[in-house]
Amino acid sequence: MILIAIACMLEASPFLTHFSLKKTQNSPFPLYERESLALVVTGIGEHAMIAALSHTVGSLAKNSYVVNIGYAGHRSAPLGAVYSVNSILKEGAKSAFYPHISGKSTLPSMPLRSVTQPESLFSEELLYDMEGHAFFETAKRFVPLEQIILWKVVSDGPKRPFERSPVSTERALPVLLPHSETLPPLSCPKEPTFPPSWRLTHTQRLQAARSIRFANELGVDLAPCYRAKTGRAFLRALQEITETTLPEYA
Amino acid sequence: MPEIIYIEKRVQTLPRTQAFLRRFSNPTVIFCDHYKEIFNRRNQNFRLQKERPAWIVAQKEGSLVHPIPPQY
Repeated sequence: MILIAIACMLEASPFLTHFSLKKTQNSPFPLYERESLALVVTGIGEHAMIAALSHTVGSLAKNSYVVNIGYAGHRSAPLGAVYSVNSILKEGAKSAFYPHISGKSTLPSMPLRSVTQPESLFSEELLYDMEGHAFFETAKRFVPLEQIILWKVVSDGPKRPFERSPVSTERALPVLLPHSETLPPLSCPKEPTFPPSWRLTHTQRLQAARSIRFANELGVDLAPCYRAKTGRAFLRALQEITETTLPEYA
Repeated sequence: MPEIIYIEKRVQTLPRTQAFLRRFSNPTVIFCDHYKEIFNRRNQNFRLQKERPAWIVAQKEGSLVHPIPPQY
């Protein structure tokens, strides 16, 4: 599942048309869906983004990508250029955020600064937007960090105010579509179960579940462990495997 | 595909950092205040992370050399 959060309808309409998304909700936030794709129009500004994203992403499965696509200003980048965001700064925020750059991504990446008022000075060589920080801060509460993506289209700059900008997110479609197909598929993690005859403490169950999760994510075969007849033997076998194949997680 | 290198701002000008960066032809360099903003964060997807591991250049801190205990 991919959820796209876009601030305004102007940015969203090329995607709605291209993917033939159908409106499934009008209020409190317009939501459009089709198969494994959903798009929510959040409204401009960080408060609107937080409200809409919390309302929408809370009902999604944990194995979903959450993507923010939108306009951003830049001092010198050409209009219509598309960037993936590699760090998000905000004045007064406790710390910056660093979105993961996906495995096969060839999109150029750039830092983003989120501002509360439309930017006119563009004092740094960064992307400027109004929702990126709020988007990431909200999304990270619901999905793993590696599944949060921000793609920005340069729409304005110091000599090209947004009102007179001819850029449409439609120009970003040919860049973003092949790129979105390179996103790795997400598996649905299953909580491990243990035979009732295995006497494991709550802590042992949590530790075993953690090791099993890492091993599954990295494709390590745990079949020898499950041949154990007792919980203690299982834990010993699991420890041996994790120490040899996953030393950093053991 | 360019390598991703996170560099703490306080070490970006050090000669060792510059020498390290010269090993890469066209890296994506991302500056951070502290390596813990990136490393070992909560709520991670390890499979996706392993598909594109990144470098972190950071400075060790705290007492790196401890005095020998008097009883030793």
